[in-house]
Amino acid sequence: MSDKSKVVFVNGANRTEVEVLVGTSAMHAATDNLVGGIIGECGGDLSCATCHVFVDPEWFDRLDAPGVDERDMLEATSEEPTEFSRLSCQIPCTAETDGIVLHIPESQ
Amino acid sequence: MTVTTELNDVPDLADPETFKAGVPYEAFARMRALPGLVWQPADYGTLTGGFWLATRYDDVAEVLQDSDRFTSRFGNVYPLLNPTGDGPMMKQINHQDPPAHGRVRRAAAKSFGPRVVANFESWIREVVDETLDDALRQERFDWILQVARYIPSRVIAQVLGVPLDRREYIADATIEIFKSLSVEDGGETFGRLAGQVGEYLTQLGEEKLLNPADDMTTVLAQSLQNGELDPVEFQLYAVTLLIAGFETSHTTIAHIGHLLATDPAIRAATARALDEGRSAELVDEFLRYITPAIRFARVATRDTEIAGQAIKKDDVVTVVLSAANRDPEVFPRPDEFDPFRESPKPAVGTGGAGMVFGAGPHRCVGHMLAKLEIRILLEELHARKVVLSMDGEAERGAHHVVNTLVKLPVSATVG
Ligand code: HEM
Ligand code: FES
Repeated sequence: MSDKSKVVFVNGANRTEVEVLVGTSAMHAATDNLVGGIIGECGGDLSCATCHVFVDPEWFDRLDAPGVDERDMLEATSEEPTEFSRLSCQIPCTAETDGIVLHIPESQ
Repeated sequence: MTVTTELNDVPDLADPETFKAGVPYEAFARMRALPGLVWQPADYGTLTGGFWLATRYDDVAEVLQDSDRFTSRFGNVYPLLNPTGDGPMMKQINHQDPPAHGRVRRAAAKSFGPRVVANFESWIREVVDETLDDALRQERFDWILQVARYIPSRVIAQVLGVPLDRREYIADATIEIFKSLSVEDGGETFGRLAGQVGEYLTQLGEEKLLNPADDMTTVLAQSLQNGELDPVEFQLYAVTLLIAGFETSHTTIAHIGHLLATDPAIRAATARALDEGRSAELVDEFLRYITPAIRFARVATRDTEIAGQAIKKDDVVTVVLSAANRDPEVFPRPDEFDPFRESPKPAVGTGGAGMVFGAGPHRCVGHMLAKLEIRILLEELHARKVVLSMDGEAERGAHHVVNTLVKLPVSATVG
């Protein structure tokens, strides 16, 4: 089994594919690879809501449901959340998420 | 081995009086150009007899973004307010590290996001209008007393749901609390004064639970009730919102008045930016140029390195935001006021608009509110064609943290 997992970030017309070590959060996958639009101000402390993504509907149900704190902080995102919204610092990249597609909100 | 950089002719940066003469930009520029970090000896307020000064933008960001290596636990300003690490101030949000910090911060942050704050625009405009109406009735007045103090105290009082008749009390109390940050007694005066306002806010919280309203004290009281916050955390968070929400915005507005009254180039650039609809860039540039909060502090949790400088466990590192915001690597022609500059280098985790609000987990929770207040003030001054000029001497205060102006006699003409 590979110890790497792939994440695809879609920002408007831009598509960036990055590969990270299993266990890395999707937020760090973006910030470590200079993917624009994911700021991750608080470094994953779940207190800034600047790592908001829309998970591609195909992938959404394969993730564990967000916790109460994450749902609270989704109120503080710059872009209106949808049913597919997540805070990417709370999404660990695993073998199951290999290839996951995350859309970046325009206003972030 | 710790390498200490020796610098001649640098003012004593452990003495608040130094800042009374002005922010020592020239000394910071010399420090920034040297390798490593500069060490300032201090016989008070640190754990190891002095503190490091981080003056480069990237070094400041590195320290603030790494709360594992650089803790806020002993205090987030020099002199340290919680030097033992376990004093009564350890439950203040400023002094908490992740993950406890995140739990406390979320209690207000969840109802303070950009979409919520954008809805404040119309009532903040009313506050600004009312304040300017009152002030401009006189031809000569003190801009600090009549404008800089009024707008943020009314705004934060409304955000917290403080009733009208207690607003003056709140403004006076927060000014006293901020002054106490320069008192050298290990946070004792600060704790006492903050505790008094805290008592009031605890009472207010109890009233809000009986009569919930659309304000932050209600949200925090509910978090207390459902166990997300303990009573001390509640009190200190409410006090922090109050004083942090007041003092720095008040300082920014004070300097805006001073700059508009004294600097024709800034006046012209301001008018042009507003005419061209570039108010967001204008606000960012005022904030960068003024940098109302000069510096903060962290303590190293282990032996480490910044910019090749060996730092020992327990050393205080002060991050000088005023210096970072004039780093020519990030802001070419840093001493020039230019709202039309190319956007600053977007550093991860700093919001891309300079180091005014800090970086990392503690980055200012109220930054959107602060910017909104300032934008509305600038727009209203422009719409009313207010022209300010000095009517006496401006006076600075002595403070370690806040770039404080205490007096600004102006005369104003309208239209
Ligand atoms: C121009 C105005 C303002 C400036 C320059 C400013 C600056 C800052 C800075 C630099 C920090 C980080 C301190 C650190 O890293 O230790 C901070 C934190 C904070 N600010 Fe502001 N601030 C402003 C306005 C406001 C307003 C309007 C509010 C509230 C409504 C506010 C509430 C807070 C709070 C609660 C914190 C603590 C956050 C934490 O520790 O997680 N500030 N501010
Ligand atoms: S990085 Fe701050 S909430 Fe996700």
